[in-house]
Amino acid sequence: MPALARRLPARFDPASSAAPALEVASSRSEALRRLLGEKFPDAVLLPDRAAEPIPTGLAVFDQLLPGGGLPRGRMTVWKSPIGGATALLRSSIHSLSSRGERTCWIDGKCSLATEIAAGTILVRPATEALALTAAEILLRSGGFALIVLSGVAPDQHGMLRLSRMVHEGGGAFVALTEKSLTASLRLTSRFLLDRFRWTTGPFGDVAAVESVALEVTASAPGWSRSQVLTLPARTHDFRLSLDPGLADRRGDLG
Amino acid sequence: MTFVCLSIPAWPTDAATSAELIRRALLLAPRIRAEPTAGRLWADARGLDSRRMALGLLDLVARSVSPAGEPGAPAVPDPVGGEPDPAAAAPADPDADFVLIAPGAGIADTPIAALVASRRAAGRTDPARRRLEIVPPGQDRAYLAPLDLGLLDPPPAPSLFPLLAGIGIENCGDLAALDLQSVEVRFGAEGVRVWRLARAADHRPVFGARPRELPNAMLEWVDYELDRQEQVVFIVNSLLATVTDELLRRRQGAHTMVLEFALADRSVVEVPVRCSAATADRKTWLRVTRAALEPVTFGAAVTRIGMRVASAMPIADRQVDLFDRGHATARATEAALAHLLDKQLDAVVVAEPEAHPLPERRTRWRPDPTGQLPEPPLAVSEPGGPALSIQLFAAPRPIDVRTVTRRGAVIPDRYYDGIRNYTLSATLGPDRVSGGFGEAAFAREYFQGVRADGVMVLLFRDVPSDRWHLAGWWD
Repeated sequence: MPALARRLPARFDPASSAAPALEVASSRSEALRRLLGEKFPDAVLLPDRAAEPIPTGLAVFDQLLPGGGLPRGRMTVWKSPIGGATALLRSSIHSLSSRGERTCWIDGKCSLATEIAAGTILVRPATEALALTAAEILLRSGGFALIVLSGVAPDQHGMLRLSRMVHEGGGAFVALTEKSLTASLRLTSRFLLDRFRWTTGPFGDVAAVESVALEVTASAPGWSRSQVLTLPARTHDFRLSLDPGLADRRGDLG
Repeated sequence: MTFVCLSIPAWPTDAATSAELIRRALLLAPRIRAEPTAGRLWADARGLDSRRMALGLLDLVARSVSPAGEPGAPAVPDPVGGEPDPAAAAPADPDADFVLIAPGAGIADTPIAALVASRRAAGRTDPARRRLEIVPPGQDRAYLAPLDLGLLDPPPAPSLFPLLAGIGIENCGDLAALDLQSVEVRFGAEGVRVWRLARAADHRPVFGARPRELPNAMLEWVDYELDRQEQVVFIVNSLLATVTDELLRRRQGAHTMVLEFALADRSVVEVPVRCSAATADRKTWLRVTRAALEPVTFGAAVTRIGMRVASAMPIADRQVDLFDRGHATARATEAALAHLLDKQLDAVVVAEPEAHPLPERRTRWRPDPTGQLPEPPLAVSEPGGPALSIQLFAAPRPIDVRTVTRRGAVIPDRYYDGIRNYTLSATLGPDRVSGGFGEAAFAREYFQGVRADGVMVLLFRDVPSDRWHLAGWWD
């Protein structure tokens, strides 16, 4: 203490000297943080890394994802829109909804044929621009654990904006699109035709697809993992034909 | 509560005069109830100088029912004994085509006493006497006591009079002296009603519940004129602050607001602004107002801007589960949904399954414009886990198909969607679907194909046109 006292000026007043210095340091730190956020919207500060990812509730899918779930506050891009992405994300949303989390699916192409999950907000925007606007609005609110955007191909500017909104909102966001420049986690998937399981008919030919196999790859900078999943295929039931005179391939008259 | 009742035997029969009478009466009393068919006018004098109000109304009514206006107005003597108005004291026009019966006014604590007093005052033929009768506070029952039961309103049923006379009841005081049980036993429900009136126990709702004035704000200026929209929006923003603060204080959300612009050419432009969900959020309203004002052009400079809430409703604070993870963000999320619905009213949809054979009509999408968050579902897992399900194009896409014949059936083997060729490794089908009548008739052969890249697609042949389409895919 005497040594410290010698270094201090004779009239040192902590209340008058330290506070402005701290304010300057704090404002500079804030400015630097803001600048970094603008330049690198996908960058994650070390304190933010402590945020737990959102487990999807699917054990095989969670094992594949870094940290055991979809990252919060960062963008995830599923690069192959047809490859089981809808099935896995639909199931994830169902699992999250049943746990009380709030979820949303923005169906940009209005291609979903059935409901996603009870309690999930389904948005069917009129245009692609509205789909992006809807995503930005809902992401920024921070009220959703998971938002999925499908059927939209935003440009790099749009992806950058979405990335900022995800960062601001703090939820998980998965975009089913080809562009993945601003994504921190990239997912790809492809069907493995040789591992499909078929149901055969009385003549030995294929009557129905029982299950499909797909390989899902998750990659982040310096990290990658793959997993093969087997999913059943839900056939569309046509047995509601109104005309009893037409038989289907099973000989069923409806 | 102090009631002022005016009995007006010669109520003006034309609608314009009647409306004008009521309009002017509202300048004298805060609440007015007019009963033209009964020739009555009620005024609410609570907390006000009831005598002065009654005199003003009497004067107003006397002038309104006069056939030629002021010269023929009936005399309304000063109740305190002052000099009567010379104009009012002038003789009635001899050419008038009706006999004027002067109105009378009564003031009392109860409607029945005020009504009876006004009738008695109107019935006086001596012009020197007052046309205003005041029942002293708390003396309503005593005032009615010596009066005949027939003066009550509504009057007793005619069948009741002989019964009352049979036991010697001649006036209100006699009936009021009885107890309720005795009256009920002897005279039934009608007797009880008259008994209550005779005791001046009249709780009829003369004035309904006063509707609360909805929040509004206005700014007017005379020394300058606004002709730029930015300036208009600036003032609208400040008005919004007043209105939304008042809404928040009342815990209400506005659904519709009306902006009123008074222009320098004396015209008034009204712009209704609607919000998809009732809200008191200033930012939301500013955004919606900006969008509503964008296409508006004013023909002249703006000299006054008014803003009023046209419809409001309580902001619901829903009871939620403490363990609801989204509880803390519910309001922010609903605000975001409202913002989204302002962009596209039918953006949020709810699926309603239907039993239609065509895949694209198997689900009906019903817009949900409420902007309310759905209730969290019960904690049940998806049956069977993840599974591929059908996805559909917004409209079936025409494709070119190369077919092969297998056991007598024509099935697709390869298709071209306008961009590239796809070979089908396996094809399942056909599933024949037909139905409908007239122009809505359909007949299709559906095939489920598995492409070489493993993607499962749904194709169909439209039987009447023999054209192939790609309906959707599994994902």
